[in-house]
Amino acid sequence: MAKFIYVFRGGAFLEKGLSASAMQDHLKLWGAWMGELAKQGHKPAGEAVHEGGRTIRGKNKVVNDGPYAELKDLVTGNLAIEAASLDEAARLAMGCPIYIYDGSVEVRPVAQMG
Amino acid sequence: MSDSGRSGGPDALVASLFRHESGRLVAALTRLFGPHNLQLAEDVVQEALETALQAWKFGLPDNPRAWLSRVARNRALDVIRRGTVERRFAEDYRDQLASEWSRATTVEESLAESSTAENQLRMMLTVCQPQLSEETQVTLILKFLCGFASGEIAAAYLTTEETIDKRLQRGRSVLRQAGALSPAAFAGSEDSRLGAVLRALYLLFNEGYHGSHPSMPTRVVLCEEAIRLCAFLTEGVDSASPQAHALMALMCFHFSRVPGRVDSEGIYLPLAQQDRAVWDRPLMARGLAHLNEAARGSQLSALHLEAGIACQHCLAPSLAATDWNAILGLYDLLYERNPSPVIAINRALARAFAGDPQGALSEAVELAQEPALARYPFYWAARGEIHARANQREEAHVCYQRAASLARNPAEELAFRRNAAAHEEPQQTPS
Repeated sequence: MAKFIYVFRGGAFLEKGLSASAMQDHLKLWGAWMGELAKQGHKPAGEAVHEGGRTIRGKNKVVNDGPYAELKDLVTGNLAIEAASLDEAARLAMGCPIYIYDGSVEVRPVAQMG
Repeated sequence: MSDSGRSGGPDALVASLFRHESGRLVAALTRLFGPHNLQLAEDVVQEALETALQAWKFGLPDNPRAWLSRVARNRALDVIRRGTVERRFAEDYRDQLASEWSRATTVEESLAESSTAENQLRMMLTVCQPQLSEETQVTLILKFLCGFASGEIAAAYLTTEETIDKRLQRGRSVLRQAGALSPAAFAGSEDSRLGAVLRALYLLFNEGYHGSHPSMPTRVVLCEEAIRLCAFLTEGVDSASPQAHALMALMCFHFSRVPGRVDSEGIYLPLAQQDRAVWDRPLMARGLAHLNEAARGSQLSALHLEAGIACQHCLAPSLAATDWNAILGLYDLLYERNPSPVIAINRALARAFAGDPQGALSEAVELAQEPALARYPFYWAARGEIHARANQREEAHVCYQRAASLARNPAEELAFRRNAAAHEEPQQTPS
């Protein structure tokens, strides 16, 4: 098994004014997807990030408030999983509910140390 | 358990958690901010829920409600700190919120679980203002106490989002005049504020139970919400009036009979064909307990009588073994109090079942003069049943067909057509 990282951008979190029921229904889809990944032995381990934060860049270590990205490109979380191949990892990412709210998933292979 | 080590996926959430938490938090914050700052309270709650939506994707916190309270507390304190100068908060909390000393504990107290019942009750009393129409009151309850969005309320009531938004606007403008949430202390059980809340909950329940939605004979969620909110009254110290208990009993009895009310295709079954084994016995027992509580005191309200009738149906082991004389007596009392044609036709039906179909028939035929009943499908269905009981199959058939032609939705129509068909053939003589 190889390791992969899903980088999530955009999605429901950035959609303002969702109803309480719509939020809960959406969360349920995430739960179902996560549950399925775990059940199939892909060992998902993820973290969500909030809006805001700081970006530090350049030789002069310039500090700016917040990420630079446009809203739809804003990173909203990441998830590490195990899969047999990039193809499989990408196929599994198809089940993510983030697309309902126009989000994206970037699937990246983790560089192996050994 | 998810790999993130937290307590289970979002499936572990109660299906209505977000909605109910929205109602709980909006009331808790409106108590502090004042009804004129309702929008501010809603904004803080919306942000708290959005934060949860983001943070809970990969797993739930151990105590989701406490988690939400904490986020709402922090946001509320920010808002108060920034706004103490230019904003006026609720009259009864202005001083406590202005002081740095008492601010945090005041916010925490209002958000505490132990304050939920009082907050919900005060919010209900506040939105049931006498200057608002009953339908606006119910709309406000659905929005602010049940956490439904305008579009969701519109769908439940088969109306447009625009209509609902208009009601909400009207409600908000009236609420802006209130300086604080209505107090939960009552001037006795005759307090008219309590009566207004009971009426609104009764309407909410009836919309779910007898509503005219084309595809859903029972909108379970509306009934459940009415029962859930009524419990805040019956569990309160001052608000647990005999009438509140009677309403609760009535709703429990009705709702306990929802399973079995329709067949597998969602078509109403006549009472005679309903499977009583699937009725919700624990809920009936709860209804009986409330009916006992309702009997304390000397009041006998219309709610008491309606609950009494529903109780007789629940207790009966079969249609034939129903105590129709008791039901007829209760309808007589109900009619004395409120001589409406709808009660009259129900009373006539009870009379037919109690063994006097001829007496029932003359009452029913006379009621045909009532303009309110001429286009009321249940009048014609009841009259069909009475004709059948009087062995007038042809007349029964015609009345059921008339009921079908007036039905409000396809499920009702089909139920009446089945009854009509059942009385079509000339009665077979037993061989």
